[in-house]
Amino acid sequence: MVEIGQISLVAAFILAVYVTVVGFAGGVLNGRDLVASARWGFYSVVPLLLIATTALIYAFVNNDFSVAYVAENSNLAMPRIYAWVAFYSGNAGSLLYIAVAFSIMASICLKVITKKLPYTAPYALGVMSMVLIFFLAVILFLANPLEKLPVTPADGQGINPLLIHFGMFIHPPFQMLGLISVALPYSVAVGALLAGRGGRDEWVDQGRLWGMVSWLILTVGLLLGSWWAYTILGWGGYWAWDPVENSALMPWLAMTAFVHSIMVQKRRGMFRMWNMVLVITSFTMAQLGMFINRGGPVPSVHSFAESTMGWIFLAVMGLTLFVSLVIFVIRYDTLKSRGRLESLISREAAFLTQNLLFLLIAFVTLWGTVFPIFSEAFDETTMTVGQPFFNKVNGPLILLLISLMGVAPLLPWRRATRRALVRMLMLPVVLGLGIAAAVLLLGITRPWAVASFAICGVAVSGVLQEWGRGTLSRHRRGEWWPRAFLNLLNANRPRYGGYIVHLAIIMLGVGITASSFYSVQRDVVMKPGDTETLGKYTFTYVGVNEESFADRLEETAEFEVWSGDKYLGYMYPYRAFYPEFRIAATRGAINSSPMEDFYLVPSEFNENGQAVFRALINPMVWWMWASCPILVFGTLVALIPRRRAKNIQLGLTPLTLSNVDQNRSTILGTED
Amino acid sequence: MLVFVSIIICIIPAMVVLYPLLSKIASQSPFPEDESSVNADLERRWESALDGLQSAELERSLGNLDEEDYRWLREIHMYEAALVLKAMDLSKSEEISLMKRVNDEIAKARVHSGGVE
Amino acid sequence: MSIVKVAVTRSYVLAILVISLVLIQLLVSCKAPTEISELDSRTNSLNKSIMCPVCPGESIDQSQNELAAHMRRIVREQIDGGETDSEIREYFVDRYGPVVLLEPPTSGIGLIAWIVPPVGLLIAICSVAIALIVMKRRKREEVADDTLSYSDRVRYFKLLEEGEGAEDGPPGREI
Repeated sequence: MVEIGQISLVAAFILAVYVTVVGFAGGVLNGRDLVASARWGFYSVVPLLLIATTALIYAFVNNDFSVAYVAENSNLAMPRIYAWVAFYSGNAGSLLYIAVAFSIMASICLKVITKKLPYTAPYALGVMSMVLIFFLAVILFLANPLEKLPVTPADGQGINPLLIHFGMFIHPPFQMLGLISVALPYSVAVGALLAGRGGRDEWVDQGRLWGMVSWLILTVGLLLGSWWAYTILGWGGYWAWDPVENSALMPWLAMTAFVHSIMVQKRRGMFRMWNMVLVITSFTMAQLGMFINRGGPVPSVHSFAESTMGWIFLAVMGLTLFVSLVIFVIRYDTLKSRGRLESLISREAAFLTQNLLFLLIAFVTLWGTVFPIFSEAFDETTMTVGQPFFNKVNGPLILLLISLMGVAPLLPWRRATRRALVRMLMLPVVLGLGIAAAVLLLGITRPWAVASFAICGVAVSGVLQEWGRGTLSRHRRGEWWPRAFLNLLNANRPRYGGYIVHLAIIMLGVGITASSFYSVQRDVVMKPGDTETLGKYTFTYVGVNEESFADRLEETAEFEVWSGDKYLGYMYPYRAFYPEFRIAATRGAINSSPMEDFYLVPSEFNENGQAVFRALINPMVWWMWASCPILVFGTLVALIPRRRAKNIQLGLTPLTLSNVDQNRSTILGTED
Repeated sequence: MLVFVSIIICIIPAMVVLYPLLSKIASQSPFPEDESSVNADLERRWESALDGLQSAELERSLGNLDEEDYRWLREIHMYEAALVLKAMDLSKSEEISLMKRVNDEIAKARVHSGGVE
Repeated sequence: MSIVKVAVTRSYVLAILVISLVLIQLLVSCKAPTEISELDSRTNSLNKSIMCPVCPGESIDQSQNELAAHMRRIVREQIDGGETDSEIREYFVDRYGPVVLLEPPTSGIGLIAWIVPPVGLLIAICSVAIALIVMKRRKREEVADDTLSYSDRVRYFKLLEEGEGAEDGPPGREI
């Protein structure tokens, strides 16, 4: 089975090379048969990679330790179901995962763009298959997951114990999928450039579609990761500005900028050059992310073991960036804007500002992540750049961004007078100030927290104001309130879907603000029977239950918890120690409510019966996780396509004067 | 057994890939509509003019637009839409000049796509 | 004055709705933040600013490593002993080097780390300003087709306007 997998990999690689050559040739020579052949070749890569994947998972499930990768990443004690996790938990396996997942996504993308952009598609196909060639080449020549060991060991080394959690079924695959999915809008955009067909905004619809798909996957990946860190890793936080986390954040920031400014190009034919630069930047950052993930130049909790791998990714990233820019420069003159900026108080201007803010935050994140290398190179002292730095620097910038997010959607396209500006901003600003006052009255005095809540208040009011006014105006024309609202939403899906997403982001912002500024924690030493308090919570340590397994020692503590006078029940934080890996994994016990989370996690259990625990109160974290489904919903609403007007077809049938009436109704038969 | 399976793994994709080349279905089917044609461009501009009109209406009902701005915006977008209509009507003035025009458009579109097939 | 009047008359219903929503939200989530002792609070923030030397990139607050636990104990002892925050930090820097601090010091090469972001912000603001001004000035791209004559305009606008009676709904009238 393993050998079959290996052959499939080789076949897939050869096929990918064929597809690239023939795809580009077909595009250049306008040979439609060549293009069709390349297309089918690309689709065929999918089953081949699935065979290789199946071979690997099969090897895991059957504990086939003759395969080096299986021996490194699993053992006899590992539950079978974690074969899926083990598959992508190591370097080589994750490459295969990325290759197969990308080939599937790209095939779907290819199917769509062949129909919508028939003359651009061959070039986009070429770009996509080059991405595939890279991964397959690395797999075959550097890190083959199906490589065999000369001697079969009796047992494997086992999977990293931190990975034994159901969250690991979804977070890393999603994250990796998100990073590679940036290649999709990139392929469409660069394909259009190569085809010389970017000058009339042909690719914008598909660019927006795949950009938003990629953005959605990236966002969910980031949120899942934060959720996993919070609920599983047991340090009470959800984001540490770790280099690998940062490397996933940077392409997300660039993609967010992109999906916004692509709307300007769709609407006005502006920002053509800028959007190209943005999408190339996004992909470069995604590649940089993969480098940081695997290269290990900066220490991180997430790093895969190997380090030589990373430099290949860096080199290819550099090459991709260079080549993309060359293509961009060559096609530069096709990218002049159609429209022109009429006013500084307009949505276009706001989008440009927002774009730059996003990129600035990405730059600051990048800067902080690579500064240790920089300082070592120039000064021979290694500095560390961690949470405090990022919080202090990115925090205000993000706050600025959220203010813009609150204000910009209220701006009309093209132009608004100052008077209209006052009218649209008055209510949100007043409400924002009101919230600031209310918040101060409640005892929240830290300036950044107050500012943040106030700005979130402005943003929410902006959205609600527009929803209210829009519904009101429809209601005035005779529609019943709920219907008016739903019709408003439905008639302007991209816009109102976007608002739903913004609301989700505000929820996220509120949760982050509250938990960043007002989390409290205490470390306590307790014997069984002791009671401690934190805030209004009282917790009694009942005892600890030890359980020994083949690979670990689990100590589960039992607590009884009260909130004020209300009895909350039992909580069971636990700690597992893996002697072979010398790792301790703790799981916190969380009592969650929208207002706050009460969080208990064990630090150590001593011989004499004493144990050290950490208790935390994290306000409003619930809002962060609640925002995720709302965000997904909003994105899907924004993505639902309009019914296309089948009107203007120049066609090959002559239009004579007698066809005017037919012509007119054809023209005006647009549906919105 | 292994040899057999590997041959299958290599042959099937090869066949799949050769089939379009040999049967030439793709080149015998009609040309797909060119995304860069004047046609397609007009359609995009029509849609963006309509989008603009729609959002001007929405913004006005929300109170984000002054009457003056609203009228100005509406004028701009109607102008754009009218241009598109006119561009289309240009090709229907007379049969002969129409056919010439249409053929010109097709020829222009072909040149853009980079070659004759 | 008239602006206020306009704003008020148009949105009073809306304002009441929004204000009540917001108030409900606040009431639901209102509580004064939990206070913990000053010493505890200091300990926590110090722990969060010192890195565990053997764990990649984790603070001693975060890490569950034994060395991290040991370092936390030292921090607590020193706080109880009356040392200031900077003295405690210096203690660790002496032992492990400046790499043990989770943010670069504001002197020497570390200063560069702090300077670059604000400089970046400045550059970003200037770029946006310049870009916007340039874009405003740029001439509108000449339309390829002929511009509309007056009679053309009348005819086509009429066509578009009349479409507003058509059964599929008027272009642009619907919101």
